[in-house]
Amino acid sequence: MLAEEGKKRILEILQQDLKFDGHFDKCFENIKETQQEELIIWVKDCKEHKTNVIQSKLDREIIGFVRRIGSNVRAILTKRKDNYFIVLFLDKHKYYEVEMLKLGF
Amino acid sequence: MDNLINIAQVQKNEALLRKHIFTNLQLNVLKKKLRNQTLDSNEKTYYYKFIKPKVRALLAFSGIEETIIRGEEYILSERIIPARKIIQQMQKKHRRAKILISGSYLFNQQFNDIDVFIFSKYHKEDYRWKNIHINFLPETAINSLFFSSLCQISLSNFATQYSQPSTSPISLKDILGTYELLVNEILNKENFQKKLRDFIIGAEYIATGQILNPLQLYRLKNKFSRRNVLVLLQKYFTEKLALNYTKAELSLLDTYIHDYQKLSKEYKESVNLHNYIQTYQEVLELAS
Repeated sequence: MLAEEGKKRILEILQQDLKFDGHFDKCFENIKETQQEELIIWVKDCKEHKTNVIQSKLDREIIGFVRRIGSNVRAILTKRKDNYFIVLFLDKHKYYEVEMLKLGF
Repeated sequence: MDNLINIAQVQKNEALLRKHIFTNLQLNVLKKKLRNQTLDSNEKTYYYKFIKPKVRALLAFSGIEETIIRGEEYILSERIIPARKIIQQMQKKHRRAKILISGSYLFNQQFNDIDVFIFSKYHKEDYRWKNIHINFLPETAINSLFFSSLCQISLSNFATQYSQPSTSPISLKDILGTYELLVNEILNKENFQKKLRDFIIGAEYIATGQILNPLQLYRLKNKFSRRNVLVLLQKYFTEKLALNYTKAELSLLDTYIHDYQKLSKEYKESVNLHNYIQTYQEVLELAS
């Protein structure tokens, strides 16, 4: 599945605008199709409050969901409490670590 | 080799070096090299043909070898020569990089892989070569607690400066964050070994002010590799926090408990929140 199609399906699930960050397109297109589906289902689970949630230590109004995809790709979905989703970050593990620190997770 | 000397040493001994060892031109090129300035082709020739061999001879004369060993008393003697060879091989591949070998390979008969750390300005992907795991870390990692732990039992091609930090490099918020992510990784059935390592180094530093060496860390990590890891971690962390922070400092936990209780009403399936709430409540009870 191409990144554009994946983004479209994610936006349909969330029914709101969303920023895609990290090397989203490259990582999305490089993971297996089953993993792409897993990612989309996970976004749906995040929306339906079915996954573990963590809270930022920098801004207590920000919460996040993290997901490991394969051995080296990680996803972070951030959200304002009781409000809209902000960013879906998808990148390799090293960039994920930096992003997690930046977000205060 | 230039990792073994620095510009301050050269400046301090400039008169002596200029009089007996190097010409003016050679000394200027050496200083330029140590300042990481770009050398032109003539300067490069001077450096590699005349200066570097002289520096090497000087270091050999003073007993400084190109591989620096720290914590030799903990290292299995039969591992030193192969570890040196690995550093030499890595140096050919990653010229001028700061390279360090540490981990259980140095002190344990049984080991999974050989951990090599390369400190680089650039983001590079870690890779495996035979049973060697090459980890690229940013140069800023040299100032981290993790590095201070790592270098205590290590072989490296640069002088590792282990010093006890004067101010705490880790805050209560930091260690809470590490604990929460560790719990999350365990619950998500991910490989949590790196996070466990960071957590233990931080928690022990908070409790004792000491940075564990890799062998101490290895032994402590093994205690948490049982089935009931979450229970063990909870107990361990509760004691560390309750005994090392004042009630005033721990009031931050009240805020988090309140936040997480509110969140868990909304996110009923988020089991990690229950763990955080329970742990922080136990800390407050123990502290009082």
